[in-house]
Amino acid sequence: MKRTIYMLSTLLVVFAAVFMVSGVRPLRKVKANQGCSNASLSGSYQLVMEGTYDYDASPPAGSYTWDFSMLAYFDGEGNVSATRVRGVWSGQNWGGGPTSFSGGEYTVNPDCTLFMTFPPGVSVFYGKGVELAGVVTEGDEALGIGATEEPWTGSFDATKVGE
Amino acid sequence: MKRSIIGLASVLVVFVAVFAVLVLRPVPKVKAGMGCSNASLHGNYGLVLKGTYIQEVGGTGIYLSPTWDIEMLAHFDGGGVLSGTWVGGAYWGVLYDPSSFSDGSYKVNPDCTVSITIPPVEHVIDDVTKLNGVLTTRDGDEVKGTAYNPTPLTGTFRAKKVHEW
Repeated sequence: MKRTIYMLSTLLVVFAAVFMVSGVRPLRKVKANQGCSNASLSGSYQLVMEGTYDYDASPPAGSYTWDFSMLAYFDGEGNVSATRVRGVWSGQNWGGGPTSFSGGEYTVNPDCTLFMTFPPGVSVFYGKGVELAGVVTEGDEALGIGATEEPWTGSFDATKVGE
Repeated sequence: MKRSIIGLASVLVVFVAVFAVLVLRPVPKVKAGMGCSNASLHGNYGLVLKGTYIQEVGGTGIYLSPTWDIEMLAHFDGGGVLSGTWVGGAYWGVLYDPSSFSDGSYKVNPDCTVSITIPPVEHVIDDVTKLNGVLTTRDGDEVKGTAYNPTPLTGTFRAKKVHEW
């Protein structure tokens, strides 16, 4: 009889412990007080920008599709750099001249909104700086819009590269 | 002694039952059978609208389609009301200062199709903009579809859920 009580008590304690771990989930409560930060973007990301260069020279004015891709690196502290910055236009892959940059900056706010800048100098951006605004989402992803002075206008999507 | 055993056994059964409910989570299965509703869209989402602004060049019959993209932190309240902050627009190489709105609306149908209405937003959106899409995941983490307004703006959109903190 005592052994039965001992076994039941042990089982009860084990279930109570498992219940606490899986039901109460203390990790989420810790996260609740944190929100997003620059550390929410950390590591290597595939970053794709889709948009158009828009010319108002006349004649003719025009809007030409120009899309870009790069391997971007976010250091988790507000600095962004990139390599293999390429652009595609008119059936060709462009990327002559500087195809990388360092010295970019980004800020991730507590509500997960994002603003970042790429410095001037990259050839496919006609040497102009780039501004981007967006949101950091689930799945190690960021999405938003961007613009350059050239003028290029478009959107971007950054997805974390598997580590 | 027997009373102690019965008491402990009863408490154990209750724990097992509660544990089973929490871990096995039959609730999503019930939701799957019920279809989608406004409650399927709930919380903060990063929303990007990729559009073009169709315009004719001085009566020449030549039309341009410069990019006009919009991004926002969209909040769906689970009951059909949509608000947005950090609403920014990009056009002709300019990022417009972010603004906000609070009187948008949305409807999620049982077949998981979604219609969204975004009101005009100063500096960013000139007209009431309609979005039609579909929830791509059962738990409502992502929506994709088309967008248009009489400006005329035409394009596609994607909304993806932000981490719940």
